[in-house]
Amino acid sequence: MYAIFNAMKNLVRNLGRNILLASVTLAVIICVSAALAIGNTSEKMIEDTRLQIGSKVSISLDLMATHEQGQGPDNLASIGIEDYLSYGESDYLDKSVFSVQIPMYSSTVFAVDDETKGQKEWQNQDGSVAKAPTLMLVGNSDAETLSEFASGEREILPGGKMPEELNECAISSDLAELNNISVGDPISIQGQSQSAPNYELIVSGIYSDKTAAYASPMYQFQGLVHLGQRNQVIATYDAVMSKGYETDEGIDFQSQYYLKDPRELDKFEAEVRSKGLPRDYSVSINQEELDKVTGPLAGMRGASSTFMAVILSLGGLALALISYLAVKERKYEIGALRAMGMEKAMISLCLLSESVAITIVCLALGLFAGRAVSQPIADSLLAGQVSASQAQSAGGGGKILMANGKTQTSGVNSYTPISEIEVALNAGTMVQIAVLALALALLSGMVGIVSIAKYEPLKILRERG
Amino acid sequence: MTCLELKSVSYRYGGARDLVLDGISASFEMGKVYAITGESGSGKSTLLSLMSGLDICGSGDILYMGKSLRDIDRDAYRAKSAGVVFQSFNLLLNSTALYNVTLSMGISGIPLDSNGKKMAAQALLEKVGVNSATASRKVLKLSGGEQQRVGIARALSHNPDVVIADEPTGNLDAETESAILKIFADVAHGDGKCVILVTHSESVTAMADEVFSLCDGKLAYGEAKREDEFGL
Repeated sequence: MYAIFNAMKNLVRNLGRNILLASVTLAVIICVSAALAIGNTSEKMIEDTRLQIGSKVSISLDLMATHEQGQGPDNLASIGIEDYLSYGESDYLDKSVFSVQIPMYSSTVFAVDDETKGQKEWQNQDGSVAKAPTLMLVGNSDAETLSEFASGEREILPGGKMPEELNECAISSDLAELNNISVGDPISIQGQSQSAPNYELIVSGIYSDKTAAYASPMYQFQGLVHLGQRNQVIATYDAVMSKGYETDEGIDFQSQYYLKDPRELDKFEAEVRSKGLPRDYSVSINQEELDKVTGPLAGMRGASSTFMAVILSLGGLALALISYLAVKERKYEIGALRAMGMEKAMISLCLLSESVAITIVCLALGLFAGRAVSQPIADSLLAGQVSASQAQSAGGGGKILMANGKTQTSGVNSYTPISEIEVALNAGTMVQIAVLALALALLSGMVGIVSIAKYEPLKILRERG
Repeated sequence: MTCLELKSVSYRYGGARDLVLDGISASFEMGKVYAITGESGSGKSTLLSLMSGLDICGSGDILYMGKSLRDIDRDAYRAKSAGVVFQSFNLLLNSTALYNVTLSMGISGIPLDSNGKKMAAQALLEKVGVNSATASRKVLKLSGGEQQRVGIARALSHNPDVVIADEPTGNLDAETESAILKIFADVAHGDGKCVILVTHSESVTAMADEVFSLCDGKLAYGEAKREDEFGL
């Protein structure tokens, strides 16, 4: 007991030296607190996002695999819409979302940016000449999954509603203004070929649209106005498919499956394989989307880990050095105590108690200060990571028009990287910080203990004499 | 009863060719005051270091109550059985005089609470001529004489069987020296302890029950003589 008491008295007696030790310890704890809080919060957000995005499964042609196998386009296995629908009937799934896009033409509804007023023609693959598409009919089986509406970039204006019935559709305010269309007005749109079905729809809603006019400026430059975001005619999936499409010929059919548990991807794949899904097709989560969304967080987590490692190394080194010098400076005191009969173990306990006491005080202050500085640091780091991510993806995104008139997402434009983070210093993080702080205290104390192990009292006292 | 016994004790410093102590033998009884005299550099302080368990002799042995200092816990020996007054005091300079004495009590494990230790320490300090005001000052700010008295109080604080003091009155005026010597005499004759004083002082040798002289590493019984009287 007297050893602890002596240690506490020493804290005040050697105030200058202990303030120096406390300053270094406090600085290390603040930095470690901030780094750990940021790192752990990033980790949790990445995990949460992984659970969200990781549940979204796509079935798509594995072009890399088929290319490696030397398969030409004519040899590729194909699956029909019915197959996609049957894959959706699985107990592993929470829900399935099917969407379809069909390039359309209208002689009465002129498209935004269409300077030819519907007079442009193009040659189909079979050699026939047809009116070039000016509008895109979009059908989705789950309106909630329309990302632009979910993100608020598109919003149904007052007086309208999202289409629900087979004959309903929603159009952009730009398209409505250009053609003087109001809610309740009928519109007529046709497929490109003579045999393609026509749609007679009632406008149930008009939406404001803040999305980019085109996924790529090239589309506008090439006059592909039907790829313009303002020229979409949104209907329900059932409405679009009511015309009896059985294959995806001439239409862009997409399916998206949502697992109840992202860890059951393998089981779901086994099930769809048993239903006849060819090996040419892959069943996968959208890793690219996951990486893009969580990229800034992962970068920030990495930066905070590196920062913490550097701080712990430098801080530990500084503390060890100060402790070593402090013990050297206290050699006479240690010699006097040893001459009085105090055992080395007791002196070690004193030194360790001093280190721990300093660390506990610094821990209390450091947690508080670390919490205060972690949010602005995280905001700054994340902003940098988001900028880097955006710069990296700029120019690489957009949609590619396929030879058959389909579009394919080639970039990341539809993904929004996480750009906000609320740093939390939870109990688990505080325990981690406390463990690291005590490890530093032990390191600091151990340096002293190892040093005094070499000291013989008589030698110390003689040297002083 | 024999408290400390030196048996053919020899010692040389590391790397040195000559022995500092050369086959010394002597016995120190409880209840007596011993004085060890000798010229500077004769090995008095080295002998004190060996007797206080701070060092171990190269050959021979030192027995405390019949047990070799090699075999016992020398930290515990210094903490409980031996009280040492160093020539350079070896006090904790940044602590108060009072704390130096109470800490020594704590190390020795005296069964007193904090207040009890303080009261006992204060009484002891008063006895060696350190008043309460001086006792509450840092050792660093005390004079040499005051520090010496604090060192003596610390050595006596845990009621040791043997008190070993290196020039315990070297910095004291005649009046204080007399008072301190009386305390040592009381400790030996009254409390039955063994007091060994390494000294140059004639008044110390005068009050000692037995006197040894140390010269060229040899211990002789009787008061120190000049070198030529040793026939050297």
